[in-house]
Amino acid sequence: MKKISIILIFFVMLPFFIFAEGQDEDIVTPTAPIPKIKAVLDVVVKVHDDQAAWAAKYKKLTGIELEILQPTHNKYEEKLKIMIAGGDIPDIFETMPTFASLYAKEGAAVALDGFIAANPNLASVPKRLLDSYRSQDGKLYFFPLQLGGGCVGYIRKDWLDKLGLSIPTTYDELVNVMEAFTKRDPDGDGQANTYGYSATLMGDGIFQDMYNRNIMLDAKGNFFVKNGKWVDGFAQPEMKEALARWQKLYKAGIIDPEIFTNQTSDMREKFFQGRTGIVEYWVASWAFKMQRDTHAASGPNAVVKPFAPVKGAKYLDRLARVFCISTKTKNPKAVFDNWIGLMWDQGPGQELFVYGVEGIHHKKLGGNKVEFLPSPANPKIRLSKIYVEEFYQINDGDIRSKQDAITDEATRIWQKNSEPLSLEAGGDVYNRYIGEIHNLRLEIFSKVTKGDMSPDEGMREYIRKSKNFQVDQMIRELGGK
Amino acid sequence: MAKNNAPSIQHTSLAVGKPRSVLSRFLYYKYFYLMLVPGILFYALFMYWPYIEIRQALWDWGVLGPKDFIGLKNFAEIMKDEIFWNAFRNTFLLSGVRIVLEMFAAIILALLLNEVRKSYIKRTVQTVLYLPHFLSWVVTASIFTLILSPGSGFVNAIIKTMGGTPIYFLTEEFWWPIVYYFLRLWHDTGWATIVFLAALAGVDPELYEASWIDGAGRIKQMWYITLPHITTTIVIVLMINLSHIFRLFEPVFVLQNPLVSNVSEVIMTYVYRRGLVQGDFDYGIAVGLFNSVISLVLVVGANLLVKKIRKEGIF
Repeated sequence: MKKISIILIFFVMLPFFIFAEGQDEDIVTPTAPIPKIKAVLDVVVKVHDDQAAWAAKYKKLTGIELEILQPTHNKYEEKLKIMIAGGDIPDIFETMPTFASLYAKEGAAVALDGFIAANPNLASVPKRLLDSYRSQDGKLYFFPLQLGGGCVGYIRKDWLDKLGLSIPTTYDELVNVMEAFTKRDPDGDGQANTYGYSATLMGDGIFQDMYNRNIMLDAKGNFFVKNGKWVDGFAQPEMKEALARWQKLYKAGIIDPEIFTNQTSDMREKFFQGRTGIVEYWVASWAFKMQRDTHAASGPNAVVKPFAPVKGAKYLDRLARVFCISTKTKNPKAVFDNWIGLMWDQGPGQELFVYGVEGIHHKKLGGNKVEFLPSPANPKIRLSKIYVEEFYQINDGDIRSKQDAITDEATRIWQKNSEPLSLEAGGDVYNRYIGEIHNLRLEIFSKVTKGDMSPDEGMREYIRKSKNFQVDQMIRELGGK
Repeated sequence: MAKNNAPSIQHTSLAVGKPRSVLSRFLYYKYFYLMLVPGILFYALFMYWPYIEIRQALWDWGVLGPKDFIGLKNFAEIMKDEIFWNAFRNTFLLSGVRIVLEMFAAIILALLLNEVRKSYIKRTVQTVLYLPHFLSWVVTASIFTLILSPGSGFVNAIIKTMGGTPIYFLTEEFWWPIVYYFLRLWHDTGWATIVFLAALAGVDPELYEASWIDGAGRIKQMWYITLPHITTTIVIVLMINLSHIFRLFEPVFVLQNPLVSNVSEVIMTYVYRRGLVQGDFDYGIAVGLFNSVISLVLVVGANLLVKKIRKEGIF
């Protein structure tokens, strides 16, 4: 009898032993077509936020060992370039589209068209989206990590309320707010220590026109497609007007005088600490961080509000970071299917890339909903992103986490008021001189803004000097010639 | 008790000058040679082995390695490259002026410190002077960026209090080199006095006593005794500084920004920007190699000059 009881108990308990890991009961580790993937990634979940658990879950889903190399963010592209040039070539790597074009041109990235067509998970990805990443030879050599993303304006609503002002909708109203934020002591500390507006103009060696749209209005400082043709935005007539606006604001002393040397982190910190009342910064998970970090630095009464661009301005929708599969990879299709295919499977793979590992990065709520958990590295901070921003999923994946109002609001404002940028992929001359052109743009911009030269003189100087860097040939290369 | 196996030189034929073969000499001194191995290996691996990659300067080097052999094309381009020649001029100027200022300040400081009789005062002053040297350039640049900030820096706060207009020192082409020289002096002068103080300690005190009896004051003693005795040290320090004149990177890199690239771009920052940031590896290496050749010419030239003036050089 005792033996029969033991046997009965064993069979009753058997399913519990088999599915002991509960949450993964529906997952059967597949036979891997390749044993390992070496990936160089930038914005994936950080090591200190339990990247190891993320990689372990990936292995459970695919049977593939994942070796992740994650160079420091501000030197990422440089390190990647050196690794590849030094022969230390990963199977898959993340990069900016401009650099990806260079890798593709040099034969370091495989064409993905065949893999995309053969993978059913990617059928729901809009063709129009992929076309914006297509190279001049008509092929796709890189695949977007997510939708592009962009910035919106954030303003200190509590300052506006205190000064009896409302959110600006025109450029003149914006100037009026900047003036009040600078001269009417919005933080009430009795000191003249605030500026109306801060920005950054140079980041990653690039002249940045992303973080200052409300002053640039219709002007763009970089190459862009105008009426179907590539042009140098800095040489366009609307840029001259933008320079005149910057000069006037600087002279009035109502913008941060350090805009020329600010990094994005400087600009952010100034906003968090209440040293400036308006900045333009990223939406989605960053919107939540803008509010959280402003509260942390300036107190819980600080109210951060995203706002629509003033009349005549548009926010930008830049291309996203992309994945390249290297030509040195032995089985590129397997890498594609088990990375990009998995990311957009609308199942456990997509969940891993968007929400991370259950119990470590998120927890399941009722129905389809999830909630991000506190960061393993810093439990005081709640995670807001693991790899793919949930707002930027390219296949209309559900928004499953509980959104803060500001995240939702900022992202919707951006979606409604942004215009897309095109892939900037040049040739040899472009690659040779693009760094010099960006430096020249900042040099002219700062000289005009500080009043060392008039907008007219600045434009003439820019056009003269940019010719030395063969800017016309650069434009021809961008157009595929 | 352990037996002492060390060769006793006075009892060997080598010591008394009998000719021996190279092999026997090598075997005789084998343990000394063995001790050299780590140093030689270090130099071979980390200093000379990378020189193989100089070949990249002769190739069109793509993302995945060499594409086409281009010979001396990169060097021909350097000759026409305005940015390179501007960087060359800046390097020469920033390094040259810095060397002169720093050596002058270090010698004066060393002479003054040498005159301090209370040793605790001397030690305290020396420590205070050395301290900035131990701050990394990144920290130094951060501190001075804050101090010189046009918005919140205390230098500009003083300027504003006095009714002046704030100056954005680090973005003005006129002010940037002045700030740079000032920071170099603040950071390195104290440290540079060490060598001169050591040389001053070697001057025979009897010379001072004799000159004092002959009626020489402090200034004359300094001029006729101290300075001539440390001239060799000054020349050696100058030579060492000259050999480093084109190896200027970190202090400039942490302080520069695109607004002052006209006066702050030096050869090494240009190599970094072109070679590593823009991924133009072959051109970056060509510029670096060109830079090394110029440095070599400078050092050899300076040594020849010293030999001509003082009848002896350092090599």
